[in-house]
Amino acid sequence: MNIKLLAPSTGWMLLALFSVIWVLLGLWWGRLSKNVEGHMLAGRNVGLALGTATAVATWVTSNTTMLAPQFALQLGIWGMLAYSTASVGLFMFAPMAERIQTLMPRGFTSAEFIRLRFGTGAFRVFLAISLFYSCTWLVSMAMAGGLLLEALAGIPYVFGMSVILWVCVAYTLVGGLYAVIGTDFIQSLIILLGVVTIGIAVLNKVDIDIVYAELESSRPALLDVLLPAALMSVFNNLLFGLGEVTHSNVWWSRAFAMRPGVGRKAYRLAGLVWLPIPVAAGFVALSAPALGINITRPDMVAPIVAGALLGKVGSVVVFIVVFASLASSIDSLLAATSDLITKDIVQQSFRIEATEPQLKRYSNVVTLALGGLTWCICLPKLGTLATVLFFAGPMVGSTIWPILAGLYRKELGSGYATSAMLLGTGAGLVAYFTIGWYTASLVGTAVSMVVVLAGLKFAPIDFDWRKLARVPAEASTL
Amino acid sequence: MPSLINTLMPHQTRRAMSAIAARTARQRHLARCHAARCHPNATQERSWRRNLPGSGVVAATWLIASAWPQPAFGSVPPPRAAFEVRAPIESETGYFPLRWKGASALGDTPADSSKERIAVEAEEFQEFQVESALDSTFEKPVQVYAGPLRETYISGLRDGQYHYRVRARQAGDSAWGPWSTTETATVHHHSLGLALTLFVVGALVFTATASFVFVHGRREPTV
Repeated sequence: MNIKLLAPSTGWMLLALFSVIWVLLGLWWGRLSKNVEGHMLAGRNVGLALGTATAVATWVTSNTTMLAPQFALQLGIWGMLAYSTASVGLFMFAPMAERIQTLMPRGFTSAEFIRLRFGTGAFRVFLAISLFYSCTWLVSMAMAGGLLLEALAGIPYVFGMSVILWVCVAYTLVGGLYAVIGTDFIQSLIILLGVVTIGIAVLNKVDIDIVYAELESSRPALLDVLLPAALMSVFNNLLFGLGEVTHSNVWWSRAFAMRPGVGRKAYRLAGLVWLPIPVAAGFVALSAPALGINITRPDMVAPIVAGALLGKVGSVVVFIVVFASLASSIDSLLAATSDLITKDIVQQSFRIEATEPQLKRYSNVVTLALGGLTWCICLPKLGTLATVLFFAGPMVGSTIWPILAGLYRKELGSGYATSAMLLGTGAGLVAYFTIGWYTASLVGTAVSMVVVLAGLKFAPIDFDWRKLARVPAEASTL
Repeated sequence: MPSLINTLMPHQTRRAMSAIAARTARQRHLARCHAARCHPNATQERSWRRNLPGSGVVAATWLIASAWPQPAFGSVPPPRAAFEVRAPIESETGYFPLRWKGASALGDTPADSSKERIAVEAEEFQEFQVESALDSTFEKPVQVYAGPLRETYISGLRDGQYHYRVRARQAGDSAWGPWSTTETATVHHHSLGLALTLFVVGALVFTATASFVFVHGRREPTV
């Protein structure tokens, strides 16, 4: 399918302009990144405004602009609401962010928490899940970037994908989390302004009664309250989103980076700001049949409708919003995954005594390698990885309860935490293949929860919280 | 083929050829419209032409095509169309993609490879009509799509059997080709019992999780 809302020359111009802006801003903020804590955690000094903005921008991914409308087109009203439940992840992480800071004032990554709390076995399982999820998300974002720029402006896939990816690698490399959070702030403003503009324009041009009448006649099940797949997807999506936020180092690194007392407020505010975005994107998709727009790919419905309704100006807005939402997620993933690999694999396995400059250098090498690996995987244009991302649903769902109980209850032991992740993942994958993707996270989380509750009840231990608060060996060299 | 042309031909040459060929193609199309007594600026024609992918390459191919002897328009039969089906469509969700193909993809092409290439590009100028009905005899058909694209995305169907057929014509011509053989999609949603059970399980898991966070979150700090 080829929607080409913009001429390639305009697309290239916008791409070049924003690439230069992001890299220059990265260099500007990168001046602050003088040591490892500065590079990885922005000096642990992020305030409320930047903290909220970075959470919103990171959570508005290309999935929000592509997958939320797809949910609405496939699963109707329930689908639209189901996608918006991903904001619950941010709301529920708010108190957890505060708890994480209290328990690990010198912490760096989510995997570090699992290692200190549950030991090596659980750490390995968690690391495998987390890396699978992070890499899949990263690759799917870069791939979506190439596909979107090709579809929107006719920019060849390889060029579009490469520019987006390497621009993000460049400013993450020079500016670390300072640059990521700084650009996220501007990107979140662009995204919000763009979505509000498109939303208002669509509401002005589309009659809701006509949208309803058209759906009732041509796609009646989208309005059904008891549409089975949609009913199953509601809590599945909620738990998938919660699992993503609870386990991913993208969110943990922000919790470590925020000033004490900021995390709880920032994540709550971010949830509130994010909540209406998928609803607006979903409504745009539901209006497509009433507008007589033929949809060939459900994940492209929002850009198509926006371009068709708003013409050239709307197309430019869509292009900029898409670029900003992709960049804000790719940079966060690069930074967080690079921290995870540097701290929990490189330093733990090979370089326990690494000095601060060495660690920063390793982090840069890992970021570059991650960018290169992602680029190589994306190069063949395999298509969308959304289905593979759903495949990660039961894995991340199965980490919710071990992390929750690990954070709040000293009774949970390592064996039950590890079993919860393994059994939850297994059961979720069985549901994925036997029923459908829209049940996998739910089943994974449910099984994991039962195992954790059994562990708390039948095999309690007495974990010493001070083990988490102690200064890690590597930090003494900083 | 577009990539082959792009590789072998310098950019400036391609642009120049495209410009000339676009004029040629437009003149040929106007002649065809005149022959078919259709208005050259008909809305439908304009709308699908805007959507054509790689119009420069298509135009270049039309330039190549103009070098070949062409049959009189009146002797060209309306093209055929058919669905691209690998297996019967069965859905438990009420959504699925529907794809179809035009004349050259069905083998209605000249034996000569060069002419075949021309036919493939000419297929870019075909338009399609897709209808659905609840009965296989199409007593009450509903138009699902009309235009030059070769796919659409169906969603929001309730339980039942849905029949689809497609036909094609050269853009601007009034004569449609024959209807394709019928494609049947069977929608049988998951049982409501299973859906409600999982909904309730989901609600319980979420309530337990939220309560856990809420209760323990209020007890801080417990280090």
